[in-house]
Amino acid sequence: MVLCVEDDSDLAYLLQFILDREGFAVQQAADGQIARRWIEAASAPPALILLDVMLPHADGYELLDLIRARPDWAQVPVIMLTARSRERDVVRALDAGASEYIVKPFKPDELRSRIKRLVKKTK
Amino acid sequence: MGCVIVSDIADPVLRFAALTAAGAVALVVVLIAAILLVRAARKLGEWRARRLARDWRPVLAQCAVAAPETFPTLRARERYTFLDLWNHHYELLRGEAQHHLRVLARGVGIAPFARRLLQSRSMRQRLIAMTTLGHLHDTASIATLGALARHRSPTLSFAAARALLEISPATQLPQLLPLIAARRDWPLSAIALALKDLGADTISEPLAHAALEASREASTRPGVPRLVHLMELAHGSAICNDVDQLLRRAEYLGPEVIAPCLRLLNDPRQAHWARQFLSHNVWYVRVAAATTLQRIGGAEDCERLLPLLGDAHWWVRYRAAHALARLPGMAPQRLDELAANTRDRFAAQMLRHVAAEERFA
Repeated sequence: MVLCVEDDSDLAYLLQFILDREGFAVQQAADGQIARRWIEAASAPPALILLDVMLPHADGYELLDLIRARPDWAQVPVIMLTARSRERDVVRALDAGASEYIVKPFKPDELRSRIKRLVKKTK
Repeated sequence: MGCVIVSDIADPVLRFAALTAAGAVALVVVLIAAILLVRAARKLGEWRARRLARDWRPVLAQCAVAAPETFPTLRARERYTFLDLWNHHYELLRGEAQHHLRVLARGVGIAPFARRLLQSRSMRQRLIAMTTLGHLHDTASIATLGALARHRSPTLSFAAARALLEISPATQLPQLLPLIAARRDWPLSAIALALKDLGADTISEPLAHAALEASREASTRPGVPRLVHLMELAHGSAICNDVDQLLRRAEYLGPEVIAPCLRLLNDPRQAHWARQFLSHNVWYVRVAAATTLQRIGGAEDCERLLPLLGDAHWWVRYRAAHALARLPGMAPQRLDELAANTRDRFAAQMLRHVAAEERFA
């Protein structure tokens, strides 16, 4: 299962479509608060997390801290998907524990191959 | 009945008051009706947009993986809302997916609709039309967009220029660069973003050529600084000779061109330009010269930079100290020695300040 945290409904649909085709079940969270509640309540970690940075209520970095604070979630691959392309944003995300950083607009093929590689690596 | 009652009132003052009250009530009723109508129209618009998104999202999402082979019918009254949805999807994706979206847009026939929308009275509709035609690479709208790029409204004209650059960068960029230089109401940061999207390979040569051309005529010279600032997006090697030529005309072009030109220098063989302008009478040219020597200067520039530590401007002293600190063979201890040996209090303070920064760097 993949947790997809994205507040743009068009993009959330697009990501769901791409992940569905790859055979993943998808849990959508439309803002930081919903995502935080889901992460805190989940009994098992997802196979992968797609995380936007700019979100209402709690941003992607806060959620990433929360994810990495849970010992059983430490190895979950997290792909940050964001419009922020400055070097310091990428470094900040990778330092905080993101596995990959993809800048919007993105190439669907590139996203698919990175998802496959990360999921394969953690299996 | 109200009119009958009012006409029965004999007292003219009371009659006027009654008429005013009746008018006020009627006005309130009309206002309430108007508000309800506007709200209903907005709700209907939102409902239509939701229905359109529900119907078209699967088709648009399919474009992320493959070009569509069949095209659903797009109802005439939904075309405008569809443009918004299509543009949003186009701007979320890159690469092949954008090509697939263009195939879809042509298949459902939005290009002729967007071209008609260019004539709309609504600024919003025209902007959406221009964005769409740019994304569609619609060569049929080049002439109309070319005329709109010369419109007096900066918003409209810049959107048209952006669309033209997206449609045909190689042919449109050389034509638009004189406009980019002349239109001071087009924000330089927005132009830089548009040029960055085109890539350094596409923009380097036309940009440098346009800057040189503009520098030859007194009437076009005021636009040169804008072009030189944009040359930071070009390949350094491709513009090297052009920057040399611009600096040779420095006396005509002034400090607004010299400073950004110095920032473009990356070859130590061009360091002589920075040395030449270390004593320029405009302080920000001296800053640019010192910063350039920090990048491409040699150990022999130490003696040239030392006098700048006593400059009246803080930024000149600061950049000169930094340039000294980064010269080959220089270390924070050497800066401390220089500080101890100078009689100028401000120069000594700056050297110690920069030496401390270097130690913590």
